[in-house]
Amino acid sequence: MIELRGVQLNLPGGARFTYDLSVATGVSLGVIGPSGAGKSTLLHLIAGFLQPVSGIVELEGVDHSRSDPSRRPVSMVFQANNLFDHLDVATNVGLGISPSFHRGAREMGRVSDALDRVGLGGFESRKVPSLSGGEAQRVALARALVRDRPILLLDEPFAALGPSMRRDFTQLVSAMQKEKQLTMLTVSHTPQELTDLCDELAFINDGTITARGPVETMLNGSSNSDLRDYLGHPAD
Amino acid sequence: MAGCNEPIRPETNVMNRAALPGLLVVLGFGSFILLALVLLFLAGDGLPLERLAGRQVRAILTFTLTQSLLSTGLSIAGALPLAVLLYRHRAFVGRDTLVRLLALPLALPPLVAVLGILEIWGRSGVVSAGLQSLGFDVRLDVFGLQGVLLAHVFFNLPLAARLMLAHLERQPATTFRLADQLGLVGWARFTRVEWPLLRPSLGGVAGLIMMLCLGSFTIVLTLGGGPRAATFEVAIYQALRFDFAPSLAALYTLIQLVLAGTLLFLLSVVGGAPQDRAGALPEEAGFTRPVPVWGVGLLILTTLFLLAPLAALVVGGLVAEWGRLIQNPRLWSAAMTSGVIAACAGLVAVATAYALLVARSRGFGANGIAKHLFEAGYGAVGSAVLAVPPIVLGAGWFLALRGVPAQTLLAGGLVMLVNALMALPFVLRVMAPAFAASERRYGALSSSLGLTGWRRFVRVDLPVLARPFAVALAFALVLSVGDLGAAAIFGAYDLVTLPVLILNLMGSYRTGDAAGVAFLLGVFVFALIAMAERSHKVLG
Repeated sequence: MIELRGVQLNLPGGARFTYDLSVATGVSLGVIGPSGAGKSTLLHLIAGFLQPVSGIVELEGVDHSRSDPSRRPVSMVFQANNLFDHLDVATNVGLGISPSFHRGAREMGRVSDALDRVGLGGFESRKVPSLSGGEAQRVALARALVRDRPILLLDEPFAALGPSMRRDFTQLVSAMQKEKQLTMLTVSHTPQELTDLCDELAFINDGTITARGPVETMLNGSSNSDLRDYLGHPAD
Repeated sequence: MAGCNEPIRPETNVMNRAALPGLLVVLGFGSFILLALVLLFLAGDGLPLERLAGRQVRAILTFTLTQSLLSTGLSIAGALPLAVLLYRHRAFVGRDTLVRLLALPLALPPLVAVLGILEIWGRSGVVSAGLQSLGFDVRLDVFGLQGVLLAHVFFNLPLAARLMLAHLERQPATTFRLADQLGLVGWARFTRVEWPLLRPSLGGVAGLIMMLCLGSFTIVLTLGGGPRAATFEVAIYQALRFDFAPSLAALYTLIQLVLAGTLLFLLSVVGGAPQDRAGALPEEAGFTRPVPVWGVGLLILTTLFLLAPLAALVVGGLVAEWGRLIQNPRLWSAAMTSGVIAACAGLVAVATAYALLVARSRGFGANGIAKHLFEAGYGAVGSAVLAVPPIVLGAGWFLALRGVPAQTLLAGGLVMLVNALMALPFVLRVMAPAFAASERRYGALSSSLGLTGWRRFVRVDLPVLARPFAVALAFALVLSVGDLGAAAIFGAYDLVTLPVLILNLMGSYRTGDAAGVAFLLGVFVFALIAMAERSHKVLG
């Protein structure tokens, strides 16, 4: 569960974002909006990479407004650079188990299971630079699996993937979200990508969530004029 | 097909008129360097090669390599935890000031820094006085290897820290966010993330510092403490100025060229010197942990180590006998000489760099042999000063001036040219990225409008690049006004610049006056740096 209450953030350059948001456990919310509107900033705020000047960031019923990113019940998959290039696939995944990960039999078993789940069984000793964009994203997902946190944040996870890889990745994430009842936030520049993945959409404009609703309603019949402009729908 | 923002290159593989000034620069400076070497090697009665195995050469070689290796090792050992600390903690109060403080020694004339170091670490310095007041009967002695190491670490630890920090900050922001999210802290973060990221850059950092220490002249001359603690550059100077033995100077030059050439080759093998862009990480209200106790200690020690000599310089400058000093005509004469030489050297360096960049960008077809030859010449002239240091250039031309009329004027011209050549790598580093950006943006448009040559300079390059030109000029002025290398050699022809005046005052034990002149020089240099920094910030 995610609760943001009156969360204010000041960014260099004078921009000020304000968020109020509630996402129930097991809900998959897509986040859309123009470039620079504050979509990724929202995810970074929840993950703890940014700290608010005021307001409450409550995750799983606990106030995490000031807590360390590693202590939050959150895993995040970035658009790119999700892996340490100098480490092999197994260690990249294993660091999700513990920062002091050692290749013991039990730990390696968990790593291999997670890699099997994302269709990368046998990739343990592969070097990161030898992976394709889709494989790298799936390794990041495998790490999120072993981290086993109830909230998953995806920051434009499809941006570096081709159409067929996007479909595969969407199916994989969707299955994982439903099975583990994850609370999930996905940022995307392409709203249509979110139809198979999300229950609801939130529209962010100028650092504030201005519209929210079921995916179909948001994409076809929202009365929010900014959203209609953003989607390219004609005015009524 | 090239994008619309790509500069248009001539379709032919030959060169055009835009290449001419750059070609003249390459040929002119190339001849200047080669002639200096030829003059030096022809001046004596042949190379005394039998002395290669002699005790003196062995002693100089041992000292040169020992101090270079130790200075490099100590600088990197101190810089590594500092860079990691500054990378991990991006929001503590004073971080930006400390990162800027790390750049200060790079701009400080070596002789000025030596005076500050003596004030702190010398026999009558602050540390010795402090120890004595605590009851220890100790007087520190900074003359010899220990003083040279201290001064080299003062200059190179901040440089190494900035280079390593810049290397870490060039990594994607997700790298440290990922490490934060995975709870990688302390030793685990160092071994898993920071060390593997830093390791590939260490060869380049070490090579660059070793190169600087190998060619160290001013510090070794003033703190070396005699023949047992001399590098080859100092030995060349002493052979010419005190023994007048050109053959011996030529032999030392040969060894110095071999050492520097070998190191340059090794440096190119490990990937060259890294870029210094510390502070490039975007500022944001990011997550940050409190600085650990060892980190606070390290930050305090580093700040004291760097600031104490500067503070001593200020104090020394303020208590100098200014009433007497400003009535000394030698001071004003030296200031005038330094100012004229630095201004001319700066202008020559900037004009030269512009000619080289224009030729490189607009003068040749995409793949012709002429372009490849010019690229080789551009690289050689742009970094010549690393392989052929100012003292070697000065030595060759010093010999050519014997018996020539108007020696002082000619010596001034030669020092100016050596200083311009010395500043060229730094000037190119400032101007090249701005020039390339301007070419990407306006290259095609200018070509389509037929703007070439002088018209392009006046209509496009000068207005667009005025600020980078000014920043580059400021850097060249700073380097030139603080240089002692070439000026020390030509001091024999009554050419007295401010650094030469300070050296003479130190030699006659008038340290109060030397501190006063050093203070003046320091204020001038920092004013220039402050102006350049402000412009650089605007440049982004």
